[in-house]
Amino acid sequence: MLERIRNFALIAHIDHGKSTLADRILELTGVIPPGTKVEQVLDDMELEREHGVTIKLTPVRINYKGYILNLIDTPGHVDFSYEVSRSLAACEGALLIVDATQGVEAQTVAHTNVALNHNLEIIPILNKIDLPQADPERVKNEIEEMLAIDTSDAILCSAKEGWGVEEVLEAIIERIPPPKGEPEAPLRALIFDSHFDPYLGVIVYVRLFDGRLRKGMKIKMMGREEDEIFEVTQVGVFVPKMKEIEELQAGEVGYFAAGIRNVRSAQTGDTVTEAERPAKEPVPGFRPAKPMVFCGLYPAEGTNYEDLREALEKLRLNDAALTFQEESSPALGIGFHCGFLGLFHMQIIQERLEREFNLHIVATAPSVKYRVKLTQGEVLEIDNPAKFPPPQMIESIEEPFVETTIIVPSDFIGGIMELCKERRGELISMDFPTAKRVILRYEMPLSEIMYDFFDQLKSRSKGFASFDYDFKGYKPEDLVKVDILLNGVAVDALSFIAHREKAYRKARLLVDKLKEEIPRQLFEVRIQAAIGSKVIASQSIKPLRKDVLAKCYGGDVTRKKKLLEKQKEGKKRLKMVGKVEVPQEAFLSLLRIEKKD
Amino acid sequence: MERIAVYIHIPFCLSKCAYCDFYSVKFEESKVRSFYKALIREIENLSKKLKAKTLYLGGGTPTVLPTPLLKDIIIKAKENFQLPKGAELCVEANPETLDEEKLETLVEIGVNRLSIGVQSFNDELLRFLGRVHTADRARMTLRMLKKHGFNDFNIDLIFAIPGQSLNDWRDTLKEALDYQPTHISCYSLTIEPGTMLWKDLAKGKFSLMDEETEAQMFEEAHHILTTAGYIHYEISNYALPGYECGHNLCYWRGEPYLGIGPAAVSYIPPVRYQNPRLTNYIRNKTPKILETVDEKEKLKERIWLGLRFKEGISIEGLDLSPTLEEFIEAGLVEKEGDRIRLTLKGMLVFNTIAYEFWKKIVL
Repeated sequence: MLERIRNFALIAHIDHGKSTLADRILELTGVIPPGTKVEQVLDDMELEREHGVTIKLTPVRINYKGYILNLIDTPGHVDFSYEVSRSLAACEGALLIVDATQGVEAQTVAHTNVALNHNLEIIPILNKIDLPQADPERVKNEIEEMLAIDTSDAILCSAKEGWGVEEVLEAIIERIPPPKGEPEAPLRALIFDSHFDPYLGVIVYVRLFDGRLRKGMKIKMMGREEDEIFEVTQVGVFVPKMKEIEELQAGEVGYFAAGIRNVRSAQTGDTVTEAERPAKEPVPGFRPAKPMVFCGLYPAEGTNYEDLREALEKLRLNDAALTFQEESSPALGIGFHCGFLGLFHMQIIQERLEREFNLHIVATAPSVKYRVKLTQGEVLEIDNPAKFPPPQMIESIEEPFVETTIIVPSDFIGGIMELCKERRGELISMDFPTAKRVILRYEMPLSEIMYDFFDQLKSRSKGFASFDYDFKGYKPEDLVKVDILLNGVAVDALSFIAHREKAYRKARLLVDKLKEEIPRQLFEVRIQAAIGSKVIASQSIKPLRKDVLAKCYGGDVTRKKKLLEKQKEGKKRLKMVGKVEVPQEAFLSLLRIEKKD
Repeated sequence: MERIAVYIHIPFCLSKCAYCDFYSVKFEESKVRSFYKALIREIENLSKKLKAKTLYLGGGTPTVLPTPLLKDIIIKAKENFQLPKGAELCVEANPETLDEEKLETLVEIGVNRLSIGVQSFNDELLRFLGRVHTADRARMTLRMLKKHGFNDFNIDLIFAIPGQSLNDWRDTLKEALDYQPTHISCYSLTIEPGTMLWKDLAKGKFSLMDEETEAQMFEEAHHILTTAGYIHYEISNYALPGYECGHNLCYWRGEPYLGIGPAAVSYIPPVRYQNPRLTNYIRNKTPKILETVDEKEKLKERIWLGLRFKEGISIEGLDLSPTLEEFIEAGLVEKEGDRIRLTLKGMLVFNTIAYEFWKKIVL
């Protein structure tokens, strides 16, 4: 049985053709009818298709020449490298897809390293060889030099044209080892994803390492302080829709439902075992996804807080990496402080809230999690600048650092190094694996790559640079909290943390931006940026001088009355900060100046 | 029977001014006849139920009508609506269309107040506004009024005209004072949608005056006219004591009014409705209801219209805190007993203040 199973993942840099190849494989094996109009069958969210990347993993069972092939897709964006890691944990092999017109990119390197760490068999595939710019020899050379992978058996393919897809399937069967495992041993199943179904509860995606999983079986998660026991109500596989089957066996990939209402009861990375006959050791898991980027999400006009909470809860059911907790801001009211894997993840969540749930939200500028050591010795972890203690109570501040890997044609090295320096990066290494490509490794603060680092990399390399990052640890830096005050009242949602040397410039840009964003009022508005009690930048908005209807006689009353209401309609969307009316857009100023900076 | 302020709209002009968005059509003899018939029919109909306390002929340009016709309309309106002796009977006039004969007739049939559309004593600005007359023609008309001993008249002026300087405005105000009118209206030029100026502005043919100068012109009018003894009794209106326009007071006090003629608006609480335009008016089509003024709208209007007004509004039973205190603190509003009114500074931001109060109470 095990001999006839192959579990494999697809890994690739973004846009190197991973989803197209998956589609072709599914077509060729009859899982979907050929010529299915929906491009990229696996990306079933509208947003995924729009952003062109896979966010959720979709395992598909394929029957091919008497074999069961389990295909597990992986996301291509840096924010989701953690998800790559967990899908690879369920596999024995990986198809490494490299665009033959582009070559090895940062995520190619990052994902390959993860695959190698999991001891997976890697099959290099050069895609897009139908294009005239394809240069398979150069790219093979890069794969050998940069990834240390033998390319003598590399497969040349064009997923778009369907060339080489059969060879890929043959290679999966011949080169990827079958799973090991003991069907008669106590159950050990690794959870690598889940989604929520309103009728069945949490649908848990599992890879069985040992034992069997059947309907009616009582199960629990290993290593929990308190055992929660569930009875399995359904077992099945994805073909690609859910299909119920009798049982899953060691080596197989599929899903089960057990009336689990709370996604936290069955978390990604957990090992499922039989309650009455538990296994001794869990499957080596992977560290759970930790949010790295935080921001406040607040209900805007026409949206209420409860609806926002409900929507976030629904999203969290399918997204273990999303965290949120209630917070209240004097400026924005009651909302949620949310944690994300990265900026892209944050953007996806915001867009889903607006589109799928029809909510209007105000998002505050993102922040990282700081470690603040107080003068009396205590260390606080703070991911919201508004919650920083006053400067005199702070002994030191540490911020998270990442190691970034940037791969870029050597022509652009100057501009890229300059950018990294501006962002407080320290060069760790510079390698020239091939004549025209350079790999730069920098250590830099996460906060510096949060905003538009990626856009800047792209624009300074004519689109050729690729990048990936990995969390390194915390380091002390000379950081200060800058408060924004409107007529003396601090606007918590606009506070930011910055390196002391950058704080002044950023403060000036922000007060200038706010001057543009905040409409004139009946009173003068003073905008100040301050570190503690020291004002470092200020601006003022002159009061509204003239706003008066000149003529108002009998024939005018109805019309002019309605006109005034219409003109002032926008005022309803203003938030009060002290006596100052602030448009919601102003809370995005921090993001906007980052973009401009 | 309660008496009501009666307005008669004469929708004809020699030509349309560039800033005007009131309803008017070009004066043509052929249309005037059927207009006259329809108007008299309406006067006769409505006067069966209502009696006038004031009578105001506006436009358009009432004085563009041939003298006998105008005379007939006024007499019929007076008689049918039983306008009390000595009650205000006001007619709007364009300097171009008022001659000795017409003036004598008006006086003879009891017109006791005139409102003269002077707008400016600067020919260049008059041209910009698209007025048919020159400054000299306006001067001549005003001298003619004085000569006939016609003392109770209003001069309409416009300020914040692109190209106008603060000095131009001062000169116009001072010259207006020379004719000792009982009433002066000073309107800040408003570029209304659909007007000629609106189109020209959109094409970039001129740009608006800066807000600061405009505000200074407003303040300058206040200083010059109040110093000369006029009372600033409504945002755009000044009068010698006792010479406020009785008809207009009704609007600002939220009282009912009856509008007669094409496109004229009536407010017979709780309904505000508008007559059809000329063609349909002649065909005797029914008016259109603009709105039913419920308690909420009534309160809004009381605040909004009342704030335009020197009398201000009574705030008894209204909770305007803390907005009101902030406005008082900022010198925008003043309070006397249970009444509040706008200060000069407050008048300049009337829209915002009115809206803030609306928000506080009803929105």
